[in-house]
Amino acid sequence: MDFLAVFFIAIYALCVFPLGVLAAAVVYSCGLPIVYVVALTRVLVKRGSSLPAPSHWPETPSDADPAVLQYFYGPALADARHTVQLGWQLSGQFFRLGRTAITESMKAAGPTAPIAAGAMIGMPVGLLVGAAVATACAVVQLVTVAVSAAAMWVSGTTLRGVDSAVLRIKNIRMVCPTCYRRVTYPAYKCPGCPKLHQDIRPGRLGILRRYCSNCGTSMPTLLLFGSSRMKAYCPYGGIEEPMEHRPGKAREIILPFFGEVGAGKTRLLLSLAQQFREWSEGDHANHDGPEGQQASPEINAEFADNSTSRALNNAARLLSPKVSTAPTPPGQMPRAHIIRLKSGHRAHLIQMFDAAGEYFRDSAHTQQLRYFDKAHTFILVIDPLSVEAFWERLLPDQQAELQPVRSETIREPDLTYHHVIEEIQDMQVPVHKARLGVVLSRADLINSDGQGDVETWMQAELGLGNLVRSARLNFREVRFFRTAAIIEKKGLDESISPLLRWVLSGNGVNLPGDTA
Amino acid sequence: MTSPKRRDPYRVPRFLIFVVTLALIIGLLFLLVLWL
Repeated sequence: MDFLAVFFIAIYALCVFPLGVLAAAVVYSCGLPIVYVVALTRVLVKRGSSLPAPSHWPETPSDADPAVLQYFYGPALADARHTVQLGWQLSGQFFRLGRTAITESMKAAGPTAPIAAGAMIGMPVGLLVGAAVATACAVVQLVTVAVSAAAMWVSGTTLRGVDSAVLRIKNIRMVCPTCYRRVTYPAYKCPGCPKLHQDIRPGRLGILRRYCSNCGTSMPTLLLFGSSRMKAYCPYGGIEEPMEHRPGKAREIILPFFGEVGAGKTRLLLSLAQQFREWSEGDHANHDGPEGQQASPEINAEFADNSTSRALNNAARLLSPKVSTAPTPPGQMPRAHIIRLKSGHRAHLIQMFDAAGEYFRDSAHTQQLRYFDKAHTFILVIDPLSVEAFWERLLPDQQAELQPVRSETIREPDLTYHHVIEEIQDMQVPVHKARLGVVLSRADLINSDGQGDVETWMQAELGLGNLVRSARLNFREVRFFRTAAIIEKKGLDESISPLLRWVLSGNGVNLPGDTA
Repeated sequence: MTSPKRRDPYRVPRFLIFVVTLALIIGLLFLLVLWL
């Protein structure tokens, strides 16, 4: 080799060596961030079959509902970790690619050897800069995830709070019609499979919607977003069938009836249901308001579930004077009969509980009726014929005529009243804030016209002065009614309407025709 | 009876995170280049 050749080779090497340094530095400085973006794209967008499985993936806790974790409650961080792992893996491949090219060029000792020599110096520099920029990219992704997760948490908590606040403002407190427990929020069955979701509200399993982990169906998380359209269940498992009355959409009014066996509770309940129906149908003939004002077809009442419909659908037939009402089976815990009442723009759910009279004789039974501690208005039903003092004053002819309809089990109303009051006070019911409607049944059989108001008549004729005084002392408001739960040619007896109006007005339901 | 088509529930949030992260990365690199 002559001197000239060596000179040119040296010149060539000196020229391309810095180029190798520069090229390697630039390629690795820019390459590593690009590799990270490629990893980001593969993990977050493409998710092809070649994507390696993440080393860690958060699972829904075993005690949680069967729903997919909300993305920002674990999976987003797992994705960020996955991106870093994939980026590290791809960077390793990228590094090995360069190292192999350099090694082979050096071994070949060809014209690229000076470039490779330069790249040997430029590559570590590029790796350092590239790694720093790629790390910055990873930090950007982590910060994005963290900020988004925080925003989601705040949104979820806010939405939950807003939903609770709306329920509170509307004074909606849900009660299971079967187990009588206060339902904070109903459980919902997935529309796509039989899985039950106990707490569907915004949280780690979904903010606006959640996805069933069993079938993938999405469902809204709040009553505000339409979750009431799904099948609701008692979260305590108090009822196997769905709560068809769409709890949470309207304020609930709990209306318990109590009284002795055969007092006329069931018949009264049937007559209230019939009164709702007549109001709803706009039949003005028999539902005069106070002072002759009439109800209006603005009222719309319907049976809120199938159970109520089955029980009350034939109320009109059962209220015929010729039909005697079958006694409520003792030992069977009452299920609420629910009526959805729309008056103007407001809707209410009226849950009426009619327990057999046997439940009001001993503490063990009465204490099972835990719907009493959710009520603000109570209805005591008294059959005047069951009052011994009154019965004895009837003429023999009257006794003979009324004997068939008189309850076989005679127990003084005082005893029932005082027993129930003690029991509901034991349930921590603030009785002094509650209202009591005292209903004397069978007004169609007992002629008490022209004998003063009901309260006076009760004291004078029935000798229930003690009961009247106790009721006045115990309750915030007591009202006395005479009712005849019968339907005749002109329709439902007009004694029912004032009772129902009083019940509703005290629970914030103002019907057309009500006086303020 | 056909089962409902399973959609990836994370598709949208993943895409959003991708877009935001990419936008921030490009923005930061642009600022870095300007600064240099």
